[in-house]
Amino acid sequence: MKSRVFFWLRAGTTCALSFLPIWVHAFALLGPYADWMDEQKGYRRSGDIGGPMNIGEGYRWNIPVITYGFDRSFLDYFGSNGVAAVESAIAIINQIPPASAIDPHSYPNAVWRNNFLAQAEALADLKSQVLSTLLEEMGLSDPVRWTFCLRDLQPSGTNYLYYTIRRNFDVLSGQSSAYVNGTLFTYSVYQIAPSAYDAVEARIDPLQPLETAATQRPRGYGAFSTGLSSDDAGGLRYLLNQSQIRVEELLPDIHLPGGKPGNLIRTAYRPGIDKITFAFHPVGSLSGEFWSFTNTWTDIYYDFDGPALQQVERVNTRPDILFRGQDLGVQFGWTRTGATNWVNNAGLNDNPGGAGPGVIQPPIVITFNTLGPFYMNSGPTLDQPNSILFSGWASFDGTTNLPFPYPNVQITFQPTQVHFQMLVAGGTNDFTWRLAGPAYSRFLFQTTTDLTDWTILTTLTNSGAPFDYLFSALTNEPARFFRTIPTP
Amino acid sequence: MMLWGNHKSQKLRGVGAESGLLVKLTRISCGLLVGMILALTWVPIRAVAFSLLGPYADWMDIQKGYAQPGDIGGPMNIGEGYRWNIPIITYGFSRSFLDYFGSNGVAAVESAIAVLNQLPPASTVDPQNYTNYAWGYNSFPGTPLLLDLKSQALNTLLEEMGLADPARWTFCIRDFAPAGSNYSFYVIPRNFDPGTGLSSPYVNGTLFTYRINQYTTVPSPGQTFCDAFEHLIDPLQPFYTTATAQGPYRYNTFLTGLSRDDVGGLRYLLSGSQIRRENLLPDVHLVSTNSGTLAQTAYRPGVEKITFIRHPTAVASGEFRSFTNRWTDIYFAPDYPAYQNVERVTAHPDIMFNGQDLGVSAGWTRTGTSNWANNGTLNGNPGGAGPGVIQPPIIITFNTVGPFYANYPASPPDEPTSIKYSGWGSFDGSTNAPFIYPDIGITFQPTQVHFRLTVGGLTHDFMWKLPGPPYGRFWFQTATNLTDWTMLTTVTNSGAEFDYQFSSLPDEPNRFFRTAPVQ
Repeated sequence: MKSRVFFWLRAGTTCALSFLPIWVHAFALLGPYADWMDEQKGYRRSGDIGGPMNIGEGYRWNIPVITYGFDRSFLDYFGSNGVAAVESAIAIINQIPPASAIDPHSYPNAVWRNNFLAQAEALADLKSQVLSTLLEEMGLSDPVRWTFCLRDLQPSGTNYLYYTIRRNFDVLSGQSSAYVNGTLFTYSVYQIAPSAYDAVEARIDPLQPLETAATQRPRGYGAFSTGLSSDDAGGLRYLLNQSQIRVEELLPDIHLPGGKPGNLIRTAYRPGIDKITFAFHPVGSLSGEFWSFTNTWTDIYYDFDGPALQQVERVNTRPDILFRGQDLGVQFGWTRTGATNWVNNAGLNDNPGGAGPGVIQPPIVITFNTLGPFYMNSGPTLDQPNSILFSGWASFDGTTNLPFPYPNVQITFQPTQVHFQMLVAGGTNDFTWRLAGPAYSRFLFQTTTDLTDWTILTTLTNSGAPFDYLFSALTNEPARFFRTIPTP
Repeated sequence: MMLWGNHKSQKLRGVGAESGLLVKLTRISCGLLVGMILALTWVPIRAVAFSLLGPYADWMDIQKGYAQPGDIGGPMNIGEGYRWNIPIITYGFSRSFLDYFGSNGVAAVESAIAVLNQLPPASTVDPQNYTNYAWGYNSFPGTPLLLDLKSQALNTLLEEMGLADPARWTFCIRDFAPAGSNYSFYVIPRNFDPGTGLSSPYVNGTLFTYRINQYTTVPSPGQTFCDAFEHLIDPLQPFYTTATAQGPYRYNTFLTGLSRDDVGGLRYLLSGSQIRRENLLPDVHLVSTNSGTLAQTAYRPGVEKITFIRHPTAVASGEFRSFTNRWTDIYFAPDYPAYQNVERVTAHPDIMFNGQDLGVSAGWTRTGTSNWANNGTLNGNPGGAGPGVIQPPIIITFNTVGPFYANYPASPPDEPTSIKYSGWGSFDGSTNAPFIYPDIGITFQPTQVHFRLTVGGLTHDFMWKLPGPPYGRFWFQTATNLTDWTMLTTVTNSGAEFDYQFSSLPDEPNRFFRTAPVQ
């Protein structure tokens, strides 16, 4: 009898597996370290900016528009190609629909690919790192790293008793999960330093991919991500969803639109913002200096039992997320501001002493190493042929195009090209020439019929931008001359 | 012991080390040969590069091979270079320079300056128009060990314009860390392709590799622990090719001009495409006729072209006079180019050439980079090594100790077995004998009067020297009767030439002219 029941149960399970979709997707949440997250338990390792949050304790943005910008140091090293790489990562996030409309099924299970030429040249993809770091700064963490983590350890005889928790959550149910994008993990506790331990994840099936989510840090050079995975999209769907109602404060620089009477409701229950858009912080096109940026939107909060609306605005003079370049030495490829200034609203949400939930606050600075390529020698033969090359940042993808290594420096100034079109008797004559003078100097564009009395047509600046001019000459003129000369 | 010049700063290079490397390279090259030939066929190879000079970053210490004797700065990363942001730089000569090197020394320095002044604006410089090898050798028979003054002036001026020796900094140590009983070393290239700004192992077509020399078993503060030495991949290629080269041995060699890498480096530094947030020099202000506020700190493009002008001096004493330079400063405010007419009044030259007895260790010295302004913070790079602005005053001092003899321990301490270092000379690749300094005008050369008389449409030229004490005053007079002399002008017997033209009436039977000491 017992065996029959078992038989039927097994058949039933098989049927269920055949007909029900299996959720094997999950995400991890990032936030400021809880008190118990110490080095001994494998937290706060070099390069970490926070710890894994429990479901319900996540940190999120509560403004609909986040501005980003580039510091002069970034522009000087990474140039326009670097900007394009960052903006292509941002475009991936901007293309995400509102959280309530996200379907994680629409995203692939694994987003990491390899460019073998870049791998051979020890290059790291800038766009992929930007995407991974931006997801961190949106409150997501590496799900593989935190599928299992140590919550506590206690002496037990000559050994320790380890308590391991899961901080990787199913995108549908919010239950903790051992899957990341379909890859099943288990763990073993290792002593990773003289007095530090960690629950290290390992794949049950070694043929399944280890790196699948865009929030993961790629191991090795030549890896690039193609976009967001199911788990990444699922994590954002959870964090930004309007179903996730928290007591939150508005950012300190938010106020009612100028001159509008009334009191700003700063602290209130608020649903998720549903959709975040990254906008380029306006700058002077030549100097790159940041201008003031005003964003106005309707803030939704709960006034006891029903939603209430208030028009708010935010004026910021600096971007919320600043991309920078800096020589970081040989240890780090990039750094970013940590989660220490994120606001913990646990107390407001009846979770005093808890690790969250909370609100992510700007400014955020993401710094990429501009050290450039370097070689590592660790003996016994200390020369270039026996070194390991680390080439630094580049942009590449899955095509056969050569990787573009950084820096991207425009060495020479390209003077303004004058494109002059002269109409005579119905015919057009095209002339082009480059302004011969210092960069950004001013020129007079003049005309004459006798090479003596010159008439000014216009003034132009040798800014590098093309200059077009159209002139209709009279048909009975024997001669007409044109010239560009530096302003006296 | 290395004599004359900053030789001690150079990485000591041994033929043995290179030949050891060659064995390994030969092995590697067999396998790569086919692939390399294909690559060479299809890919254009940029084989030129430059290095940038600036104040030492915190991590550039003696332990890692920086700040060696004779060095004035360290290699900067691309984007962290230092440059001038004024279009006119004045130079001058101290009395000590003039007293030792004389007019020939001035001419030598000015011929070096002419090389720089002849450079077109950065945006029109084509490095391909310059040679891959800027050094020549003077093989005039019997020439003693001489250093070429012009070449050293050019070499040092390039340093003071923000360029470093690329062969020295193609590879350099960034860091080291204990690894078991040994050390791990991290090596960075600081030599940059003038076309792309990417780091490069080539200098003027010469391909380099490196080998790390570890001098002591453990690092110790203030002592050189390690250095990445450049080696030639092809030992038949020249090691020192650029005008910026700080070679260890430069006797009887001379610079023919700038190499591609030198020009590529200047093109990068001065290019209008390189926009940096910079301060104007403290002594720059709005021209006195302008009202308004000076935009002192702003984003600025490179000045594109720098011209060296000799700072005006009093003819006789050589004392410097005030010099005013006016130009239009271009800056960005903040979305369009803005212009302000500025002026700079300087009482002393920006670059002073000096003469001094420096002993037997150094052939020349120059002020360092410590007063160059680091604008790292202004450019979003706080704590970074640059970018920055080069600031005057700069003093370049040439050793006036004169020739000396060195007797080394291995030989008897007498003249026949000594090595004679003859100091400074001026020479080139011609068969002319080298000119050896000092160049002293032992005798005073009186002013030569060049008098042109025009009569009836014809000109008559007369020349004579003023016969009187140096710097004595003379009357220049004329008369028709040798009795009633009329004053034309007064002349000082300063040594400078004096020109005068006189148009005589056609019906005058006689007219006389004379120069007579003032009574």
